[in-house]
Amino acid sequence: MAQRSTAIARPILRPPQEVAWRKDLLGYRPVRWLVRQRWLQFALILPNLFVFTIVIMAGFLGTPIGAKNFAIIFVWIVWWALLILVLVPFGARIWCAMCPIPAVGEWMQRRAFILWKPKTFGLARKWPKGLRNLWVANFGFASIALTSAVLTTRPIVTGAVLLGLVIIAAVTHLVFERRTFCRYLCPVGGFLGLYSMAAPVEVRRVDAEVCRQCQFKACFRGSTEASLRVGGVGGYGCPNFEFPGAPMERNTYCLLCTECIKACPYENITIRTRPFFQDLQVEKGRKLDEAYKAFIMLGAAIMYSIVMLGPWGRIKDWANFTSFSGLLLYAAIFLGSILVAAPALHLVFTWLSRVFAGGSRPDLKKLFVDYAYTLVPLGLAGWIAFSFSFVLPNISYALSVLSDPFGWGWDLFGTKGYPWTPYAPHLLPYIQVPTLLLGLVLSIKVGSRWGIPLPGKTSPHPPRPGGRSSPSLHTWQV
Amino acid sequence: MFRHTRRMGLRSHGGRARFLTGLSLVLSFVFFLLLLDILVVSNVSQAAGPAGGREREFTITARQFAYSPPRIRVRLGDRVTLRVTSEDVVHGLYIDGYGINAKVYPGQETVVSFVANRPGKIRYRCSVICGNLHPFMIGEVVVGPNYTLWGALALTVLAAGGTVLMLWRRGEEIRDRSEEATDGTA
Ligand code: SF4
Ligand code: SF4
Ligand code: SF4
Ligand SMILES: [Cu+2]
Repeated sequence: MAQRSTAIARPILRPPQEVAWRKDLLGYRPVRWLVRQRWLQFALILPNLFVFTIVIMAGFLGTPIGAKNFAIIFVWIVWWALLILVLVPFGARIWCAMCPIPAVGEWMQRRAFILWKPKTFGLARKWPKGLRNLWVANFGFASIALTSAVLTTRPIVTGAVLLGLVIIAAVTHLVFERRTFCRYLCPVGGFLGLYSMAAPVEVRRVDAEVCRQCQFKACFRGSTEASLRVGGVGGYGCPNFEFPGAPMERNTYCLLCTECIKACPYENITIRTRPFFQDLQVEKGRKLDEAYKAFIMLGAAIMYSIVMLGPWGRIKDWANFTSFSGLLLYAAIFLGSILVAAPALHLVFTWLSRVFAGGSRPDLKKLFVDYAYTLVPLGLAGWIAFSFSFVLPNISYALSVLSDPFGWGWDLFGTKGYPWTPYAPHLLPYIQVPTLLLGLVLSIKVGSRWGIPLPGKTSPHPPRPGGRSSPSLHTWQV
Repeated sequence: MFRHTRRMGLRSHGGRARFLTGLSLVLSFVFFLLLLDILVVSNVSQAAGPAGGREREFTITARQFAYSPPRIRVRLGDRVTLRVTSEDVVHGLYIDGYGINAKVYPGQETVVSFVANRPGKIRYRCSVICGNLHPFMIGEVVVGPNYTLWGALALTVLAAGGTVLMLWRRGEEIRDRSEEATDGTA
């Protein structure tokens, strides 16, 4: 791989200063080999597509009893638990690399399952400028979240919503370029993006100088004949409109699809481990739409804990859409608290802290947006804590549903009769409180970084290869 | 010194301590909410009243998807007896941490009893699939005095205060050091 002669020297794969926490995963040969295989993403998607198909079938054809239906148990308990407890906190948007929802559309658009082809199929329109943000996804998420008591307990609704997403994604792929759906529309993508900033992995360019001299910009434009003569295995330009060579500084919109790694002729993109919550220190790219996502997520975690886990039957009736007036009331309370009350509260406290701060006062709107990012560790911890409280009591359904996915009386693996067994439900507070405390401590830590003088400020450090300034790294090792 | 803070989003300015206090206020408040609803939601037991060890009996009706009354209060050491009847379909009653699991039929009383020997909130939940919100059919027995609640709240305040203090002291230390460094080079 290294014996190509090019005008630009290939960068050293390992960044010169390897620190604890930072490992260049592509420094390992098998990993490097793997991410350069075109079939990798297909292989990741395929098993998920299989499960997904069963989910949709179970949703439409299986028993309407949620707890006995594969769709409900595998989407809202198994998948959700994996996502929020493992994949997002440790793997950023790795789910998006294997997600079956946009797969059909993307395959049609590329006219290929695996191969790289220079020409794509479809109208390849550009998404309207005014909508190039998360607002559509935010409102989509909020309205889906409003229906969650119904969505997560009625198989047919789960099946219909998931199928609907696949169809919308497919149409979007045929009309618009790349994964417009994932970037601007997907209701799941928004929160994956927000919390993926916490994850200890990142796809980043290696050497800024190589990118500066690179005339191909294949990581954004995709491979060309010319770029392939220099290197790369043939890759599409970033499907999610990122430009890793620019550089890309946060995980928010990176789907970990590895196309840029394949496309870059200079092998100048790598996957690294890093300290948790690193991206929260990156000022560039902070925006109100993302900030709102933080309120929506935190607000929803709080609301769900009250509605779903609380003992109040009346509220459950409202959330279950049993009466129209109840639904209206619930919509007003739910949407009001996640879209209005949570941001308003945040505004009040932002304003207060600005008043208290004295001295030169930073712009209130900027402060409002900046501070919203300190809610990321807390919000993630809140979701983890909330998820434990329904995952542990109900995960045992997964075993019986596995043997009888449609509730038709099958017993594929002999586990159909496995009884409902809540695991350690009385220990939940002892899991939740430490989780939340950790979230709180990390939130304060993240936020305090902006108010406290940092080491290294007086002596200018050279920028790190990742384009990140060194002080944030130092403080993480505190 | 200023160059970097601007990068990080905020200008360096005086009154950092107060600034931090403001910030921690934001966070503590939100966290407070979270903790409240997940753990307890306003169920502080009355401190007054006779000590535990009494016999307590409650009549509870189960319906889709809740128990009524939603929350009962007892004291540590009380023997609690629940007389449960269903208003609609067959429900269940599983008491977290006690291994008690019973069925609740319409028009027929099911009696379960246990000693409230754990402070804080004891949840019981439906164990018979009774409709779509079945997994969220949950009732609460609050065992006072609620040490778990007060412990958690105290921990929260401690953790928040401790973190702010630690970061603040570290900040001072770093500033002192960097001032020394500048003095040294000047
Ligand atoms: S953004 Fe949504 S649709 Fe796209 S890959 Fe991620 S989860 Fe799937
Ligand atoms: S990362 Fe992009 S810009 Fe940088 S060298 Fe590779 S293709 Fe060129
Ligand atoms: S092409 Fe690269 S930057 Fe873009 S989503 Fe895929 S892995 Fe992330
Ligand atoms: Cu029930």
